[in-house]
Amino acid sequence: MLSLSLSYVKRNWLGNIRNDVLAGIVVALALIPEAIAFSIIAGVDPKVGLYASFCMAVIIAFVGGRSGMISAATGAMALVMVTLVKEHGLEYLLAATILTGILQVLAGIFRLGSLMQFVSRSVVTGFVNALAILIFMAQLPEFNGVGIQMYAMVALGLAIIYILPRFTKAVPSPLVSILVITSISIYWGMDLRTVGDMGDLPSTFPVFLLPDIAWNLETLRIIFPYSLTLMAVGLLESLMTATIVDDLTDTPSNKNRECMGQGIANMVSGLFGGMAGCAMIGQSVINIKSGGRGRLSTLTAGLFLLFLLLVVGDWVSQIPMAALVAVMIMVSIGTFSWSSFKNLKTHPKSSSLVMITTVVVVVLTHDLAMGVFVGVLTSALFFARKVSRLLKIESHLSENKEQRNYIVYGQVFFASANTFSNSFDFKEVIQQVVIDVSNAHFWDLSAVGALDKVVMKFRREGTAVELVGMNEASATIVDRLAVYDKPNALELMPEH
Amino acid sequence: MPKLLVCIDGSVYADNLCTNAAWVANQMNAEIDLLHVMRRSSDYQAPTDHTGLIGLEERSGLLEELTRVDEERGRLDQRKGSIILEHGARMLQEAGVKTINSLHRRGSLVETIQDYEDSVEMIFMGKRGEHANVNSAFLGSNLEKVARAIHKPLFIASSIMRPIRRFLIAYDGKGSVRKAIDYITSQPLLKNGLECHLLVVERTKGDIETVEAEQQLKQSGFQVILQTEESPHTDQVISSYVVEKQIDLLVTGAYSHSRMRSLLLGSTTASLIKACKVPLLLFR
Repeated sequence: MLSLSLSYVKRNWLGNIRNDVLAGIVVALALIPEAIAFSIIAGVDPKVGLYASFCMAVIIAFVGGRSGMISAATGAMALVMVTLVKEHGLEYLLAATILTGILQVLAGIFRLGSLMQFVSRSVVTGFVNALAILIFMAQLPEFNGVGIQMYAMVALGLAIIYILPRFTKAVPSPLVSILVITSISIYWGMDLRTVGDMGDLPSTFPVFLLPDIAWNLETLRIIFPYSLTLMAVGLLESLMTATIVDDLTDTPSNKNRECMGQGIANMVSGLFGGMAGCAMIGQSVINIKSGGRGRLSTLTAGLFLLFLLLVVGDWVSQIPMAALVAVMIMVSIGTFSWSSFKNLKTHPKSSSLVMITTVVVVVLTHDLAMGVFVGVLTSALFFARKVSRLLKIESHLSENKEQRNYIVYGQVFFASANTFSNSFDFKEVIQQVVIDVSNAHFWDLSAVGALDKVVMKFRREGTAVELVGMNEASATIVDRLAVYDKPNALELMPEH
Repeated sequence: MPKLLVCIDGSVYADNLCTNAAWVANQMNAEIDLLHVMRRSSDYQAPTDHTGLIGLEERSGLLEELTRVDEERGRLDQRKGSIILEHGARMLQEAGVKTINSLHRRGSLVETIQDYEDSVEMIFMGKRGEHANVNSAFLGSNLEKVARAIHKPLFIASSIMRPIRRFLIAYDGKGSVRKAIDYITSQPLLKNGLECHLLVVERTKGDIETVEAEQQLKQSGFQVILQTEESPHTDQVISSYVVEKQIDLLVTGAYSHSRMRSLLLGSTTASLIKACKVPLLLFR
């Protein structure tokens, strides 16, 4: 056991020290603008997002199920909490964050992570695209009633971010962009809104504090729906990101442990004055790209973030919003899956429709969980429709013209039950009908009901029915549910 | 027919390992599974880029790039592994081993060896892997992991290669070395007139009971040379005995201490492996 845990420590913590530390620093530098921007989206002081990012990154480093994945305050979560903050204030947000954590731990215990298998690739693409659009849209209010200076600075910021990497890959270009814009703005004394104008920045270590709310059912009634959505969105984005990191690093992760880890991190975050967060797709990709693989990278990101805030906190408040907006536009552009436009032509129509539906629902409702729910539902329906086409019924008359054989191939279930019952010719006057279902699968009550109806109908026409070759799968479900082979079949059958 | 698992890589020990393994195979009339384990792509340093930029289609772009790098490296590793295996197999064949199965696997060495452990009689490894410095004072990182993880006898090849005529049992009276004696007396491995030395290093006189072990060895026809020393530095006594008496193979029990204790006090086995320049046969 001990030797296991030692090699575990070595692999997850000390296997890649130099790259993990460097990547962690790059990530921390990229986390600051995002945490501030997402706090502003949620309508809380920047320190709420920054504390959350610190707590999440540090806690997840120990309890997460996917090493090298970065968790912090995120746009997806910020978007969910906007109305809660607006209507009830920060303290309720902190309580909701703690409850979110509890729900996520429960989800981990009950292994809800495996529900991810029902989220199709198209839904994931839709989710990511919708997230990118929402992050972009959240930047637009910053342009309200501002002069040409703001536009110019954002443009300059974007230019630095995208052009600098052509010359050097040693320094983070978003950081250089922020530094340049801030220096220009201070030097010329430009009248630009700064981060300091948006609210308090952290000046101390986060402190443990229970949210200042009434601990009663009324409060629970207010925060529970938000916590539920936060739980779903947080786990969804975290598990999605975990899969992305799995693919990038070609290593496995423990999804249920990640669910619980997210929960613990959120509980801690809420107790230390931070908002709810989850794994970040963009930051995790940055981490991997910078060479981060182990848990040390995540821990470094969190610790370095706090160090930066405590040391250069005063400078952070001078950063013009223009620089932040430029970084966030890069994040949204980088998050969006641009190939999905190209893929519209080549992918199956149903897949594209699922993707677009997910995007549209999210953008209209500003609710990522709702979008995913509708997306999953739509893809399930499309799937049912596709499978329902896998049904074929052949028939032929015997030589003495007294018996007709029907042979059923394929899947009979709710979506194909109607097609199934309509494929029999009840008008034909014949003595005997043989229905051969040895090549068919009867999946549910609708299928069984349809078969019952067919048998009844033939019997009422005075035709003897013989059912042959029920295969195992069909036999089990028919045995349990069907009525036709019981003595009082006609009485049991409704509407006949 | 018993089987031996011989784990080789491109290290300088590989040739000695094959020679040792061939000798054991001929003694025991065994066949050999020749194993080379390739590193996983995740064991390598990945290319790094500290721009912190999330470009267009960064996810698929990065995946594409990482895959390309791993692919090239994987292909090279595969070719190198095949050459190592072919060379090893040829050496074994020339030394008279009749059946050789080459196994080319990818993954962690320890886990791979554990997969094959149950089907083999003895496992062979070099002191250090190809990436370690031969003159280094430290052992290969894999060796200790393997030594702790497996339960079969482990043969550790060293840089000294000479025919095995004299072997030494470092006896401490513990379970693992008794197992070693059981094995030696019941298997043909070290028979055929090898000179058997039994060395006991006691902290204080009369610590360790040797009569039974000596008796057991003599009954199986070994000419036992018994030596009892008194010293707190077991490893030093053993290694100087090995040099003095020109011992060709050291047989000992391994790692009977708990992991925690050996972390704090240092492990006799590890320092023995480091100090002795001859091949070692470790029993758990």
